[in-house]
Amino acid sequence: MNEHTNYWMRKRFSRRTALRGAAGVGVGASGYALVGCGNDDDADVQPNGEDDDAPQEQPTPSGEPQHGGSLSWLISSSPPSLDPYTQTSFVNAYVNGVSYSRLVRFAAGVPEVEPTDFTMEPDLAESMPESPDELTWVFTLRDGIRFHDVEPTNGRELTSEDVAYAIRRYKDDEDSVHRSLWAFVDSVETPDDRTVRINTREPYADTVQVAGGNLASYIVPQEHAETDDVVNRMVGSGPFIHESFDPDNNLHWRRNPDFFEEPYPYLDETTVFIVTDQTQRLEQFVSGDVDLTWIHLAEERDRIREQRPDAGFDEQQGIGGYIYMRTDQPPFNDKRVRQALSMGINREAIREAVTAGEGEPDQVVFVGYEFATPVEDLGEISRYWEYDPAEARALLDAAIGEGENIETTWSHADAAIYQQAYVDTATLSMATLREVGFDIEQQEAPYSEYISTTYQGDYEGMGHSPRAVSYHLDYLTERLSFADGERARINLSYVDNPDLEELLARQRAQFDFDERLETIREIEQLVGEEQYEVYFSTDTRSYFWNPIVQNYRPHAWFPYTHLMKAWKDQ
Amino acid sequence: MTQYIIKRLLTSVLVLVFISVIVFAGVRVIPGDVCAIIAGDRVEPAQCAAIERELGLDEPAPRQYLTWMGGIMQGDFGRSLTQRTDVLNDIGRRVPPTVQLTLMSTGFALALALPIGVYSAARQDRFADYFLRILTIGWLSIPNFWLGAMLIVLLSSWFNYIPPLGYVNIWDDPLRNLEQLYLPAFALGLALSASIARITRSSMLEVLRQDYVRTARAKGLHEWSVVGTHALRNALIPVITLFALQFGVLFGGTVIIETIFNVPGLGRLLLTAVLSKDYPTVQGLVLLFAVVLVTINLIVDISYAWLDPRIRYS
Repeated sequence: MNEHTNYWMRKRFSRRTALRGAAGVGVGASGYALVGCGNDDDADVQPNGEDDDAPQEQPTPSGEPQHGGSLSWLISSSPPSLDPYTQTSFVNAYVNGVSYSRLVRFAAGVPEVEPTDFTMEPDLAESMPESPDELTWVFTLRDGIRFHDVEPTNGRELTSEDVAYAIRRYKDDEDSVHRSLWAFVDSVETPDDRTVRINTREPYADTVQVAGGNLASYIVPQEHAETDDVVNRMVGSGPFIHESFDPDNNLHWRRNPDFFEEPYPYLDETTVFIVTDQTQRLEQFVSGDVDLTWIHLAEERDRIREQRPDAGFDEQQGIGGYIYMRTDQPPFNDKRVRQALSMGINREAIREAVTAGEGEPDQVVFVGYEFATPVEDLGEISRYWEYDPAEARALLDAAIGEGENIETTWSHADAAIYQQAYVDTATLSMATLREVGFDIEQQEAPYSEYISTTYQGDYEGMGHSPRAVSYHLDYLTERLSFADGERARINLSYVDNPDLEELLARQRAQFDFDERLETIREIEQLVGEEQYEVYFSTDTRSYFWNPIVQNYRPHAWFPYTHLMKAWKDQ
Repeated sequence: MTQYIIKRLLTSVLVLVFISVIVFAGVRVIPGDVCAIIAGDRVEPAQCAAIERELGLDEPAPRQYLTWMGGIMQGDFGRSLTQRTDVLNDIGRRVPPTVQLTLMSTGFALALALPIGVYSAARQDRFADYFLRILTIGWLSIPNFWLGAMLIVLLSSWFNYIPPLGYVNIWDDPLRNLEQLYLPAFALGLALSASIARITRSSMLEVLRQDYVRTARAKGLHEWSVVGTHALRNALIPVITLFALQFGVLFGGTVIIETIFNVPGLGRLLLTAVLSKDYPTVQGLVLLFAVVLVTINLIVDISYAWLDPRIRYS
């Protein structure tokens, strides 16, 4: 089963990195490493002459594990609520995993696991689930799991009923925002206190990933979940007991002495500081006041490396952004216009200006997955990723008439949350697109306005968003679905293509990864030809940590459960 | 005098009611959907309707306004839409850092500005005067958000120093508290100190030309006694006026400075609430700011009337 979930994301610069890394990551990844081995460039040699392309070799922990100590880290904004049932915020995912447990979890945190490795390992379950018929998933819980010894659970035992309650609540409760995520589940049974049987409506290949993901997976006890307290306090069975939440200031936890998995956690306590200002976050780490920092782009990364050469460091390919557009109405219902849009963007120039030339140059629909076909291997349709103003103009002439221009809008958020590189990408793109014949009105909005209007599909013309790399493949395909006459919530391009719909449904039920990969190839071709979404290059994301923190490695989805495996050299 | 105070009080109440209507309407005309903020960017329409029902957002706006104002009269500012906590409690918890930051900023501004203003006036048109005037104009020109960011970057780069994270109350740990707040207080107070220094200089120059000052000098008093004892006290009246009016600017400045320096005060609460469209918190906070500013203006007006009886009849 792991081979289906052990995806490996390419690191920055080139596919050579991916191939090298994939070979050492696991059975599943090595199986995909044959993909796209045709182009092996040397663009990854850094200005300082070092080949920075190599996967970051992470040192093995020095010495014996040590109990005790405190670890501090940073997040960029206050969680809107700590209630896992009502939140899809990534900030929630960060902190929920410290106090709450899941059936399975990312096998993250230790040096040998890459930040983007999706491999799951047992959490509440004593082993990975059995699935005798691809419709039933049987999880056996560990013996003697207890909730935290605080009100209202007071250390009572966690049983299969608690797990069933949580899944049903995610799936059915009116307040749950995760109902569609769990919609593949038909029923949950609890034959005994330690057995949870999940019956799915149809074969669903991503079941384990959903059960262990960073959202909608946390087991919150009923007596806590149904109180208002759940908004500001976490009471679970995870490695750390939540002690305080001071919005806009910090959250604090102490070690759970009754945690079900000895010898974790090693740390006595951990605190996350909520620091909105990026400069402040960077300087807090540089000056040694916090132990972990994250998601720094190229310039900031270089500065930290210069000032903290001792710091632990890891890096991964970022996710880049994409343009979505109203393909259900003119002018973007004509694929020639969409193709012209893609060919009117100078991705290379943008990459040089915004991300110091770093990042994967061209991205297809499955961003971040090692198995994604490189654009140049897409064949004839790869030309839509090339900057070719003349060809773009010719496509526009054919679509709307010679010499005619398209008047449209480009809606995006400001830089407060998505950072300046995102806004710069939009501005630079518009400059070249105007030369081709797109008269674009730039509509910039505060994040809250953007996320609740444009990002809900309430826009005309075009929108622009960072892309979400997901730990389960079906999340990405949900972006393109128009099943049963209803637009999927994040199908922001209003894609409604029966052929695509059939492919999306098919891959969901394919447990054999090679088979699923064949379907994915078809999706890539279809989406690439149609240009329903226009993708930018990715960037690189950096993570740093205090070198006295041992047995630690960051993870791309940040449910900080994996802090339990870290210790500090005292 | 009593009639004047009553008239001013009634005007202030009307101003506050007007502001409350503006605030109430303002947060509602901002595009965006509170459901998506509360329930995430993948919320479904049915869930959205349930959220709006629960929060009373499906009621007509006038009824929502009356409900809100009725609550305010009884000390009920409502519940935060995102945190589901009592807004008045939330505001109460954030008052100490902001009040302390504002007091430290003003204390810093006065301590810097008064000596500069007095010295500059006493040395009019000499090198020291020119130097201090250029200096204060420079301070006035520096945006506090830029100064704050520079302080953080430069202190960290040069001295590997940055104030500690995790705000603590001054009563719990005074030294740590002061270490956390002195830099934001400096960044916030510098521009104010420049304004006060310049008005102090102008005011001092005017007073120093008065007959009674010439008389004091003629009596053979030491120059600093003339300046410090006889002139400064009278020159402070416009300074106090400016200081009172600038208090509102300081309060507004906390929104940015608290964000840059990670101070969990009212300014940061306001920013978070605006970004998350947390109507009750935004309304409560803006109303609080309005009450503070209107009260300060009221006190200044009444003080003027008390100091200068002609104002009452105008």
